[in-house]
Amino acid sequence: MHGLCALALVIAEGNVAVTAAGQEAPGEYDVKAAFVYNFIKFVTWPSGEEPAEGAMQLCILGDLPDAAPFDDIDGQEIMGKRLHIVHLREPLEARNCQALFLSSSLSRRLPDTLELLRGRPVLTIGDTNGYAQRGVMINMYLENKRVRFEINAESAGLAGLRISTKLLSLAGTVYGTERTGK
Amino acid sequence: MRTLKRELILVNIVTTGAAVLVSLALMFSVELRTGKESLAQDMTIKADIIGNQCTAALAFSAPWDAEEILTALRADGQIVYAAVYDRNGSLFAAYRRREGPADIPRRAPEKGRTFGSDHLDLTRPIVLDREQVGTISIRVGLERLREALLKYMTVSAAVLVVALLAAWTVLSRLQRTVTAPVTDLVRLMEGVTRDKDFSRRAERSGPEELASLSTSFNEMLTAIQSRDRDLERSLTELQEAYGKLKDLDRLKSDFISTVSHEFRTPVTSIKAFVGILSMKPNLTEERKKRILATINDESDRLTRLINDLLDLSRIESGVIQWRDQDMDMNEVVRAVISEILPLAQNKDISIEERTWEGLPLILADSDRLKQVVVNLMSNAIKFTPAGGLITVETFRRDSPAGVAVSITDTGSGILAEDLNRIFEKFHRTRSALTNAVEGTGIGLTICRSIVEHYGGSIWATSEHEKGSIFTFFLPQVRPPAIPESPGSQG
Repeated sequence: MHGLCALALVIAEGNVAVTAAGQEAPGEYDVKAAFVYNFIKFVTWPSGEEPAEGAMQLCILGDLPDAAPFDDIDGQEIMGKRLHIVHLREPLEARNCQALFLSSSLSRRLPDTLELLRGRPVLTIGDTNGYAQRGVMINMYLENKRVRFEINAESAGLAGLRISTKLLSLAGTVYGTERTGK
Repeated sequence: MRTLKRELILVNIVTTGAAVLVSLALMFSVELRTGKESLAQDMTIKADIIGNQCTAALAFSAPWDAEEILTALRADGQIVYAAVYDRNGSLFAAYRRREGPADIPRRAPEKGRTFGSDHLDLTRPIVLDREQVGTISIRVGLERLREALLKYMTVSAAVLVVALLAAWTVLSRLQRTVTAPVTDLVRLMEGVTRDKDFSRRAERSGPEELASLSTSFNEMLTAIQSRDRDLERSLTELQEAYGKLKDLDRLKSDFISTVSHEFRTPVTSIKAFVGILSMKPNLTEERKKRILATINDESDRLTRLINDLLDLSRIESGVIQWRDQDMDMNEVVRAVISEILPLAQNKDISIEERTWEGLPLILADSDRLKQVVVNLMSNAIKFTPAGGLITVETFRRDSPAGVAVSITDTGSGILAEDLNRIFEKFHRTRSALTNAVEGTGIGLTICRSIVEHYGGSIWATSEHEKGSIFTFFLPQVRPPAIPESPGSQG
């Protein structure tokens, strides 16, 4: 529970301003982990696709500069399910995840990975420039030292996922609908 | 003037007004409650919707987005301000109505709702995934509710006025069912009092109480009427009694004058003859004898008159002594005939006796019955001219058993109009008066008194100028019903 409180603090204070220097201030990946955690709340998976165990698997593919904040939210309850953070080695393993964080290190293998997941209701999330245009559903970026995100609604639609308009309205850019650009 | 009609209308209007007012007041309070309740519910829903819209903004710390969402509340002019607070209760985003100068609390208020004098404060939690991520607080102005209530009150006043008008209109007509019978009754009573006409009757109509009032009034009228009739009957009876008394009084006066006259005639003649005797001493012996005989006759007549009067008064007052014993009526008749025969022969009248042999004996005073027969025969001789015939008959009668005696003469007869009255006291037939025949007018009355004392009866039949028949009947056994001959008293 401690992790969640820390996240809440992160969001509440300082307008999510991320300062690279401040040791005490929440780090970039603290905010990003909180964002990912909140993204899941505004996404609806197609019915019948939830895992039987009632778990929500948030998989992480590739290396992260700071994976600790993600491990902190492991085991939290979300949307009535238990959130599991799973670190993957192979893209093939991602087919059974509900959400998949694709790190920058995966940039080269991205098309293959996305191809593997085609038609699967897996929410793909990234934090690398151009990922949204390349088919990742939600992509975070920094703007004026603030974490923002863009959404590829088309990819989400193809995967059978529904992203809440509340989230869409907060996105800096939404691809794949009439509403493109900022 | 306080008339029944006005009172009825007033009572009804007051009742209707009170009922309508009470129901309007109740409906108003219900309306106020439901108005507030529905406003609070509307606003709760609105707050929840808006709060839900703000979840993403709160989750991703995008107050600009929350403010944009709150701006949508502009569509509802009632909302003075709306504020969203983050999970720590700090003001996150706000919207205020243009003209609203209200201060927005910096910190999130307590959850719930509060009605102020002119506003409603509503605070709701904002929940995302079962977790409170913030708070929304809305202040709603009550102007619209007030307007609605004012409109409601205006309509209520109109309803009241219309209800009262309707009540008045309806009652103006309906009150006739109550007031009309009362008015009719009052009019009837006034009429009865004024005209003293107790034969009128009230019509039974209207409500039960009024109908029974009419019935009672009618019964009272009937009672008055029957009392009037009784009074009238009593008056008639009194007048009749008075008339009888007057007749009786007149008869008594007649009697007195008759008796006086009867007394004076013999007294005058006695006095005259006594005068002759004393003034003319040298009269012949024969002449003296004749004068003395006349004086004697007149004295006898006076004595008889006085005896008759005494007899009658004794019979009527009941002091007479009746010496009853078994007697034979034939003997009485024969005794009278032998006694009276000289008188008849003097007038050249013959007497025929037809007695019925084997008459039953009768318990009676023979002297009194002799008196009856003497009176009847004297009358017969009196009214029968010379050469006439008097027939005396006795009969035996069986049903009822008794003895009858009839005396038939060939005299002048009695006028039919006199027949019924000859037995009355002091009555004398006209012929008796004009012919100046001697008699007191009480002989027949004495006869009737005696006969009736024994429970018998006496009657007369007559044919003018041919004669009369006087008959009396005595029952063998005196009927107990007739003790002291009351007929003779009246």
